[in-house]
Amino acid sequence: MLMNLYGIVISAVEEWKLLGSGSGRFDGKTVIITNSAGSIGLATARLLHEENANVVMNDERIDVVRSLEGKLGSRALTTDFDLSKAEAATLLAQKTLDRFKSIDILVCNEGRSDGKAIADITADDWDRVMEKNLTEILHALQGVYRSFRSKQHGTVVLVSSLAARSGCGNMVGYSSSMGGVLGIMKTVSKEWSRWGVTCSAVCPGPIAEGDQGLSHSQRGQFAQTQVELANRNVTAEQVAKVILFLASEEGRPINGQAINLDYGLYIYSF
Amino acid sequence: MGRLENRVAIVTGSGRGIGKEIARLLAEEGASVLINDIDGEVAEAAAEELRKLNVKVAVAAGIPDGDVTNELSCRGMVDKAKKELGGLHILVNNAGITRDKVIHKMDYQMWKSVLNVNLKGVFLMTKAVCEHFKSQRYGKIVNLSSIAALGGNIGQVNYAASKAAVISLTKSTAIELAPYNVCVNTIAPGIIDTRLTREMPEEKFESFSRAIPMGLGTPYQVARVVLGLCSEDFDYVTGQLIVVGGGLII
Repeated sequence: MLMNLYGIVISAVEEWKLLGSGSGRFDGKTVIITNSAGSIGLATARLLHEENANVVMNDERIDVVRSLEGKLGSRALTTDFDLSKAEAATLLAQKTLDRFKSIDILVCNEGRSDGKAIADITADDWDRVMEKNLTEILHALQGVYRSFRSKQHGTVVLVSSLAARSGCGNMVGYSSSMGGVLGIMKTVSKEWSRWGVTCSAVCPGPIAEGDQGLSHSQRGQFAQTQVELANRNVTAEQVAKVILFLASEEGRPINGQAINLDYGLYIYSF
Repeated sequence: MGRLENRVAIVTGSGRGIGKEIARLLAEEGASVLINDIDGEVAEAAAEELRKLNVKVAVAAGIPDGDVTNELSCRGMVDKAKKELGGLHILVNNAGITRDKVIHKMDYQMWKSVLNVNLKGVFLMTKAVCEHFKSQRYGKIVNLSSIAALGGNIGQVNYAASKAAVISLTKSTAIELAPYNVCVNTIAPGIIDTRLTREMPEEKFESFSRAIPMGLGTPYQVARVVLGLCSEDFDYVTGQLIVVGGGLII
């Protein structure tokens, strides 16, 4: 899987090299993307980079992120901080400020999956999923807090999942953590609105490619439908485009909201 | 004859507040109840009150026996209910704590302790009962979430995350256990008059209370809904969230 991911990363890099440096919606803006070697993280980084954002990609998958070093232009920075440690999130923010002088957008893209039934998942499995999918977000938020507050401006987009909305058999840890992401999102939107910071979330259904989301075979747990549209898998790029909208000035009135991206699959669970 | 004759229930965090009221209502309907609380004294006092209702009562309290964050203790509670009360049919995951602080001041321990009790505790208790419920092809699980899960709350990023996760946990568990005739539902109480909510700054408590169209809720009002979910009336209802909030969120 790592090699496959590596291939995706390299092709994305090659694509970036072809891009010009015209103006975009994110001129001069700096975004931190966590878990950025995932398919959604990578697509988000690519689209933001295309729109002239400074892009900081953090991921512990060292082989993947290191392969990017030196291959991207001056508007990209790759890091591999372990965000399960609060100090690491502070360092990530500091490194971003040292390089780009500001932080404007935080996209948290955690999504470790357990793939086990409730009777089989161990307490240790449970802790690992929660540490990755929830605690890392807490720390990432704490890392950017000072910067956002001092600027009185900022945007947070959290990647949750349709599994948070509908539940998912044999993924109780994952779906619970994705529900937790929505609890974080709503609280942050309330706590930080006074400082001009918005916080919203996307809830993608099964992803067509990459290492995130649910496999096609699992979609039957959501709903049984023969409707062609609802049977489509959303692509990482489609998710990334909505993240871009939420992070843009046009998306600014949206605060404290979770948006399903599933071609209507969720409504077929009713 | 009560609606829950011959039923056995575990209610976590039932030494006081909403949990105690749930245990009382279940017992009034004839259920035998295992009282659980991290505080041994309040658990014994609650158990003593229930015994006056002429139902069988067991107690699992203190550390480690009453600790829902300890997997062995959770299994111990299930074994105790089966051994001392003659079976197990109902689990109410009510135990919960708060450790409030705005996000930038929240340290890891505050975050971790709330997620451990409010979320991991629900997971471990559910895991402990699920094989038994599956084998008897019957069971009712009611998880207590909160309106903080739906609307967030300033100073409660840990609590809101844990309670929102409980909603998704409920749905996933409901999907897994529905084929075994086990119902798993969640309720989200609004602002209820308990020790936990009284710990809020008075001004905040008053302003919340004023915002509720039907006024401040009582543990009894919440417990009535839990009782309903544990009864035969709700045998075909699973994976659902019911807000018990007096119109606070519509």
